[in-house]
Amino acid sequence: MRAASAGVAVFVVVVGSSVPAAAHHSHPAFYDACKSLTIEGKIDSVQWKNPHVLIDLTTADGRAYRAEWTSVGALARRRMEPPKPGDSLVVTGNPMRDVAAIRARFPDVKFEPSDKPVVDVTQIRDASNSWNWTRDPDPTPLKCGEK
Amino acid sequence: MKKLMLAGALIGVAAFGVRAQQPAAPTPPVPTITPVTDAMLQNPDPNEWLMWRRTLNGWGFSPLDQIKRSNVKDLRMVWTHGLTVGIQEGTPLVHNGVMFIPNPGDDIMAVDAKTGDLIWEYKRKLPEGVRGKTNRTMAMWGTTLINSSSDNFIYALDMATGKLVWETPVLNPKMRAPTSGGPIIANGKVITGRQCQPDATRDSCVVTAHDAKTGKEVWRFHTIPGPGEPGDESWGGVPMEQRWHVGTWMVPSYDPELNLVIIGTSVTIPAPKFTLAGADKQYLFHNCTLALNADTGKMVWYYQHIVDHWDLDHPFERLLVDTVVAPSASEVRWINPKVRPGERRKVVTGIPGKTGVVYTLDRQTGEFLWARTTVAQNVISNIDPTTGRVTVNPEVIFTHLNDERFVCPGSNGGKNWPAGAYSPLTNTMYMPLQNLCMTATTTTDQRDPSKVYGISMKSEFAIGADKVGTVWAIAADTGKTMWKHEQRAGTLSLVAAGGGLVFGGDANGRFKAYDDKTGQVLWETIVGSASSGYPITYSVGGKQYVAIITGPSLAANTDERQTPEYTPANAPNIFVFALP
Repeated sequence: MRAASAGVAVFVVVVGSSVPAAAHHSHPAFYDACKSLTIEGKIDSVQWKNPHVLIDLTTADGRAYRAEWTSVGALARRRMEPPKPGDSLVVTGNPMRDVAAIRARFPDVKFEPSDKPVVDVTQIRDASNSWNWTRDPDPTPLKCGEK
Repeated sequence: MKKLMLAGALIGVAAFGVRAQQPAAPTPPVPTITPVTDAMLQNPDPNEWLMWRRTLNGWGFSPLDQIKRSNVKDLRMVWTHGLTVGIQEGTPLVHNGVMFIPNPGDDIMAVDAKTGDLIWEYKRKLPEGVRGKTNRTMAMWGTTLINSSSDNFIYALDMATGKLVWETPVLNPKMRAPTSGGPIIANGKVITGRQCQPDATRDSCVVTAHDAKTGKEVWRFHTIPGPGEPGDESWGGVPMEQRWHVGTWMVPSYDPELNLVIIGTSVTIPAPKFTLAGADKQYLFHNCTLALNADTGKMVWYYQHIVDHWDLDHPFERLLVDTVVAPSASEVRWINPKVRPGERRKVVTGIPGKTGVVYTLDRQTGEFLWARTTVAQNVISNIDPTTGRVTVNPEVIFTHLNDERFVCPGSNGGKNWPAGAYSPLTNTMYMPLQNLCMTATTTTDQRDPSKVYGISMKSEFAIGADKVGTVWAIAADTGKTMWKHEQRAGTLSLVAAGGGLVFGGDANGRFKAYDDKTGQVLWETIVGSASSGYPITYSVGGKQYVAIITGPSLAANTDERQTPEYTPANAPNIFVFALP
């Protein structure tokens, strides 16, 4: 495992890479499935709960993010166990859309937006590559201009 | 972090320790591969299927005739194999009794073409954040299988072992500009088009040629002209950094005699032209047929099929046919008065775009010869028969934000990437077309690539239609409809064969054989999920086989939304059929 003291490489890259949205848990109205964000950082806290596991993490340059993963049951079926605060992770996911835009489109939907940027996880791994998880491909991916 | 997988791995090691005392599993034999030459590609063995449509002229025709009208009812499955999860729009290739299967995301399998037994599997490691793309086809040259990757490389695998022989980067690996179509080989050069998303910039909208032996790049052609280049003026001063998405996302055809690569292009992003410099500009070379010199990549001619406001791409298979040209005025609406009925011409024909319009052009010059409509369309109001210049119906041109128009066909087509076929036995093209339109509404009046095409699209039946799928048989000489098959489920790719048959499946998991002269369904079987791949037929050891890849695809999924009574699975498989 890569030691945190060795200086965890931190990068936040927005590439246009399209990652399909799993229909059950990440409505495209909430997350932009046509954009992908990769974050490397240390775990601050883990909420191992349904409907979705939430991981808060901070990059080496101090930027905080929230990763919204899948359900506890789905992770159990893949034999995943909770990561621990202090672990270093590399998370790739779709960024949440602008909150005002979501509220404008869904005025009746109650949700408390995080005070930090949220990504809907598509890939996640330990920074030392000792484990990894990738969301199943969606058989009906969103059309992001891909042909 | 603790992970149960670790325990699983330890158990696995223990189990391996026990297994090690048992006889080792036999390894598949390494197949003997005969080098594929340009001469073979330009006149392929009827028993083999060496490229996307079997021949460089894009026909999708095999001379094999063991399976014919009189015995096709006896076809039964001889083997099947599961494929990698994801979008299934693949073409199996067959050489020396080995079948090479492109799975989604650069996962390639080589199997015994008689049994489906796995010989090798190649899985390309992709950079983090790069998703495996649709993989419609590959090419062969020498002893290598050549493909374009999800991370924007062209690469060659040893056909006997699946080991990487060479790879060449075309673009930054993380750019969203991979090839979902695939390459063909033009006299020792790998010709590849690609899609190109706005964040990958104009620079990624290229057709490339690479040396098939070494992978070295030979040329690249930009489908969006640079400053001062011919066609630059057609963008009305839109800044270079806002000229996006003129892709070549399907597979080219190649004429060795004229040494021309014939390839089609896509729509721009955004699509509505009021957000660019107005509907009166051409925005070259979007929605064109391009003829490129295969040695230099220089453009010899172009023909623009329509200025596109609706995502009605024109990148589909170009049929290179030498035929009598005698368009029938009863069915062909636009005929060049210079056509001398009965003369024999080298033409590019077929349905190149989603509009479903058949265009026939002179292959040497690009001169417009004739065009006709098929399924409902309301985007073309006229084609000047002398110049071939297309006039767009002003009723469907967007002018402002939240502008709603009923447009036919919809962005699923009409025609789409599922390929039609051409049989030289009947001089007829067979085309899978959908009776679909759309209600399209503009979502932005800016050049905002996050809005993709800048329109929302709701797929609907064409007025009066209640069947999604059709197969049209259209004579290549007269343009007349020889027969038409209609059905509720959407229709997908076709292959024509020497036994008087056209094979093709549908979005409801059926696979069928049609009589090429009448359209009668002579055989049908259930494959469970959409017949989304490109069917092929080949022969090994004197036995003819027919193969189809099944599973989800964007076209099938769109078709299925109109037919809620059908509930096909999403299972990815290949099915292979033969006579008893």
